[in-house]
Amino acid sequence: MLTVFIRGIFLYFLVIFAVRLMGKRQLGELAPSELVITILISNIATLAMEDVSVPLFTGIIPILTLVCLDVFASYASLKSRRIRHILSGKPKVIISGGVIDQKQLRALRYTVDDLMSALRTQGIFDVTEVQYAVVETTGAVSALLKADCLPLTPKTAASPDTPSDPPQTVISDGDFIKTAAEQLGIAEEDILKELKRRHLEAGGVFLCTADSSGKLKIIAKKGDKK
Amino acid sequence: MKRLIVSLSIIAIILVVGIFAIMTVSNKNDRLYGKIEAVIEAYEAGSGVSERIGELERFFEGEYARRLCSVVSDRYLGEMSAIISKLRPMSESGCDEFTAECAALKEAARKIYLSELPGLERIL
Repeated sequence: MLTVFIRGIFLYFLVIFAVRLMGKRQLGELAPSELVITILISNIATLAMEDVSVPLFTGIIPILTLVCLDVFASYASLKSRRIRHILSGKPKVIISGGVIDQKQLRALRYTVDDLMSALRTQGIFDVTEVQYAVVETTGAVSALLKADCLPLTPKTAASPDTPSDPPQTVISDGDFIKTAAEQLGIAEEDILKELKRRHLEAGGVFLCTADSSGKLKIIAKKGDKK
Repeated sequence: MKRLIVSLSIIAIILVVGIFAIMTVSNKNDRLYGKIEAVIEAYEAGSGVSERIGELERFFEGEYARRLCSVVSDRYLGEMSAIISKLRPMSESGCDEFTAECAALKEAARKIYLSELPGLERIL
């Protein structure tokens, strides 16, 4: 009895350490790899806590191994967009320019009810008010209202009432995202020319977003000139 | 970066602990085999069997099982303990299966060692 009690205390601190090591992201919405690891850790911890015939180390080692792998995967995701997409998937645009992408919804196995429910959780009850919506890698839906449905702020009051999709990332941590530029109808050369004008190269850009009008917002990597 | 260093350190510690566990099991098994051989020799010679079995029991309870219980499942150690507890009455009654039980004890120890080795057949 006392063995289970002491094991429980030990594993409690171990799992807290493991979740802290995985980082704050773990405490919010879970990415697919994080969900898998959370389920596995809870299962392994339960087995190691209950079965006193098994050495505690056989519970500790897989928990620590999984958490370390998660940290390595996060680090690899940080360094490579390709690995990030393999591990976490890509956000998918389901409404663009106010038009629902039905093919994408089918590919995501998202029903109309799922879409309406996700929009309702954001306080949107009329799908025709949505200009742009994305299914994030966590499965949550982010939506942007059409210009005429946005709450009135000094900025929206001053802007023309023409609906437009939000800016898209065209350079992420030095990587040029051709598909985003193509979707916006901006030539790669134009973006590179603008970077050159600001004495920058694509590799020196931390984040560059562009909207459909071709307006760029550039954040240089720390230490690089803007 | 700090998390990455902590994780790399943990993996390094796990590898070191794993290798240390294999070495410990191998070392304890060698000593156990020696004790078992001494028991078999004493049994065949017909003298000092009880003392040798006593040494084997003390080694198993005091050192072998105590050191390996953090690495090996209680089930394996329980099987070995059951075999050792049979040796004394078997030697006293002159049972034919005495050496077979000693061989079974060796085999159980060998299984423990093999279970620690990361062989492909055990991984899969």
